[in-house]
Amino acid sequence: MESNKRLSRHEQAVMVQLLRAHGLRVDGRAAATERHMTLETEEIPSAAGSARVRLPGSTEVLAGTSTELQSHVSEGAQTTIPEGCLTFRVEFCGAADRLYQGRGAEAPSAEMTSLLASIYQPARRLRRSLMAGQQTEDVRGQLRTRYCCWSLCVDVLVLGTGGGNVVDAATVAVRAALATTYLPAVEWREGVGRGGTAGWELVDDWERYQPVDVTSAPLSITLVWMAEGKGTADGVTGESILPDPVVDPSAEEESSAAAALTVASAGSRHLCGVLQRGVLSLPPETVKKAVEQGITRCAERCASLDAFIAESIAAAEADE
Amino acid sequence: MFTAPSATTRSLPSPAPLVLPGDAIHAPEVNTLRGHGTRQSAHDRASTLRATQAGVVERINKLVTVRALRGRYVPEVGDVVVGRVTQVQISSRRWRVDVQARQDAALLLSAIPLPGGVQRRRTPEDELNMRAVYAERDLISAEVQEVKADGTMMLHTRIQGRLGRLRQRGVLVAVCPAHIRRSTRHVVSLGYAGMAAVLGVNGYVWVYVESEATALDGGEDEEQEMAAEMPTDAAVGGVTAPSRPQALALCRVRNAILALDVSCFSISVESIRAVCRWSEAVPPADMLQPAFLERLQAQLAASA
Repeated sequence: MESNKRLSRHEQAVMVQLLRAHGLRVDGRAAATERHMTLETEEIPSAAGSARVRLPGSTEVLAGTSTELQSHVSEGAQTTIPEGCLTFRVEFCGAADRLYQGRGAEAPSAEMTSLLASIYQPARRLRRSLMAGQQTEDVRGQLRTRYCCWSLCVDVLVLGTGGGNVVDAATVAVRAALATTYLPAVEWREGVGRGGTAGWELVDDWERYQPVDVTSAPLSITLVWMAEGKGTADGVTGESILPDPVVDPSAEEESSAAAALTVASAGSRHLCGVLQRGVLSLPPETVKKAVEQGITRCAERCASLDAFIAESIAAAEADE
Repeated sequence: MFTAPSATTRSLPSPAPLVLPGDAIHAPEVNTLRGHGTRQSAHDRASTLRATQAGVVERINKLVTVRALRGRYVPEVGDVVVGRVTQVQISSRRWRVDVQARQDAALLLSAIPLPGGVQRRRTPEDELNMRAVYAERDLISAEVQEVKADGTMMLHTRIQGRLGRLRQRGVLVAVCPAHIRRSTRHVVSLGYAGMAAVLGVNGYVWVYVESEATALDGGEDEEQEMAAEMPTDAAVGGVTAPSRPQALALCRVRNAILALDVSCFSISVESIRAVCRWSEAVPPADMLQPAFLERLQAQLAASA
């Protein structure tokens, strides 16, 4: 996610000096401190689940889910476990930045969509929880299984990028939107009466709504490395990276970073995806350390996100 | 790690001239001049205007306008602004400068003091050396010299030692232009831990560590000037890192300005100093957290 907040050489020099001499960033954080995110859930009444995430500065991401039933029929003995389907659609709002006006939003949208799709690939538990109903019947001695699954589409709208770290904000928004998505129970109804058709029917009973299982849904952590050494006029700064990465970068830090690594992982502490960007390469030991650090933080973040959502749902129920 | 949005509300002074789009504005005079941000609707009485943007109603004689609280910078001649050079246009002898306005400002080659401080005609060599004076991404402080009829803004940096490239050890803070009032001095010493700031009327604030040389107020000798103007690595690498108290003060002032901006209070030397004083017990990093902002807003509302 390229930002147009390019800093002058003097600003970059101060940023690197503060970090190297005092381990301090311009906003007063230590290198490893994350910012607080402002999170609102159930923002869009027409969506199944939704969340809005804001970071200081003006990073703002809105995510909403929409659901659709898909029914399948399989003949004979079943071999594979049926899974639901999860798709992503990302849009960068033109008002967020001049860069995203017109066709400028296409490349970042495609990049973010493929990133989200790839980090959600290992989330099989989530997709299996999208299984809605199953019905086996014996048709002239042959087994026939009907089943239906939910197909979830997550719409992500990036409303602001001024605070940096849009990827992490987007993963939080997606996970929170999924966690607040409740799916109704589905039952198979044989045709009743004359002309009645058989089919899957939604059970209109709030007690039997089930939340989506998000324990395997990943979050991401972005770490960036600043370069030290010579400042050159064309923005490529220095020759070697500072040893300690900066976690949760602001837009200014992102724009002057020499290397960035986004690590995605769920609560299970297994790696779901890594994305590396930047003008300098990273040595393997640094990557290993950063990935380990990222996975630990992702797990912590998942736990605190789950706690926050549970709390806000409890508060909403208490209000009713 | 995650917080719910805070629901703080601010009570406004009772006859607040604030309007939202569509709000009625009472204009009893005959022949009222409908200014920017207002319009007359066919369904209303003649003495009623409607606001077309959110902001403050301003009345000058018969002219009624609505000044937007949020929005881009609207230039006036004589404003001191902080800008970032976006383009060096050698063929048309000008720099394009981003000043958070509706369009980029123009800084002509003839509107800068030449290195060496001599008064002479601009030669083709000067044109070729334009990038050595101000390169892309450089921050400069400048004054608005002229606002053309089409809204184009011309800048100048002719006051040596005051205006020109910002090359101190500092950070840029971008705030809403409406929060910075026009005053007589915009290059100010904050009187807090040796910090100084250029409060650009356009909402860009340059906060920096006041060095001995700049504290003498414009007395930078020419040799140093020349050395700093050259885009060599020494100019950047040669600057020593600020000490730890200075670094923390820099972060504190930066966050104080952002906290004031988030809380919608005007940003001035006094308000920055007050926020720095109130926040002494809080580490700089926590100054943008909801807990501190709520306390700050209560304190500011009480003192206002």
